[in-house]
Amino acid sequence: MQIRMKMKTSPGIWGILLWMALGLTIGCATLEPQKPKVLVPTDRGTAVFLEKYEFKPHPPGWNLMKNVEGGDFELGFLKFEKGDFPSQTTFMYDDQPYGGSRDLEKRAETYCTRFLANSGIDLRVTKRERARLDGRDAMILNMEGENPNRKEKAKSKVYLVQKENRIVSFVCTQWRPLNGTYSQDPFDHFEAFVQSFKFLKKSFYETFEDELKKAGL
Amino acid sequence: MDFPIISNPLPFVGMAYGAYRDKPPFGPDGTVNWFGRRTVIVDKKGIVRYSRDGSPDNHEILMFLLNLEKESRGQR
Repeated sequence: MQIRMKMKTSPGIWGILLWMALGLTIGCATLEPQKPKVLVPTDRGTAVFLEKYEFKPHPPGWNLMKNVEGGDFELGFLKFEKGDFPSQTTFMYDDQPYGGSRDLEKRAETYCTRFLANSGIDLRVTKRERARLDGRDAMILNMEGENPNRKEKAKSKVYLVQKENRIVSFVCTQWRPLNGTYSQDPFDHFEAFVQSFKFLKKSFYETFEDELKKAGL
Repeated sequence: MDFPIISNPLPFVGMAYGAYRDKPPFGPDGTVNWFGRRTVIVDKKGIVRYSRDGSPDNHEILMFLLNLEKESRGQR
């Protein structure tokens, strides 16, 4: 014998349950911390990165690089290019360039001994010049080098910039197989990025120095 | 910031700070397994106050040191 049971419930109970469920959902939504969008376009034709930096946006085909571990860079872009491996270019803003000196000349010397050292590229400085960038003292380093064992070469342009009493950097590196040819386009995009770059907030280190002063250190 | 680096051919210091891995010395791909990267902050009384695996987080370390200094001065 089949028994069919019909549950009798008051519509009021379902209403209360529905409101409780809605309340829980809204509660959870408000507990979730709001993360700022990584790259936000502005009506000035620029892009803002994490509410910290503003610059001319990268052209199509460039990808935003994620800093997985360590402090290699603060913000960077990568483009895979036509040709054999390793045909690619990266450009980035790095607020902790190699070295510790706050003097541009001394920092440049240290920087050149460590830059791309891990990749085995035997770098030589092809041009080194003083410059001004957005009212700040800067040093431009052009470098090229090869690694015959890995059959690859690299060409870089680096800006070391005096920002307050620290030195920050902008770096563009193009990789090619030994028989490949370098292309100028990526360096032009890098130049537009650097020349348009604005700092919207005090950096961690500037805020930290304020804290040190407050603590009398 | 300057800080001393310990050179320890025998692993007792690494063991003391938990940086020595109890694994075979070399992995199947040839990677060295003896030591992992670890950042340790020891206060002026010799007490370990901070210990983290992986690459150092400079921001976290500097803030920690600032707070430690404030604490030692009774500013917190």
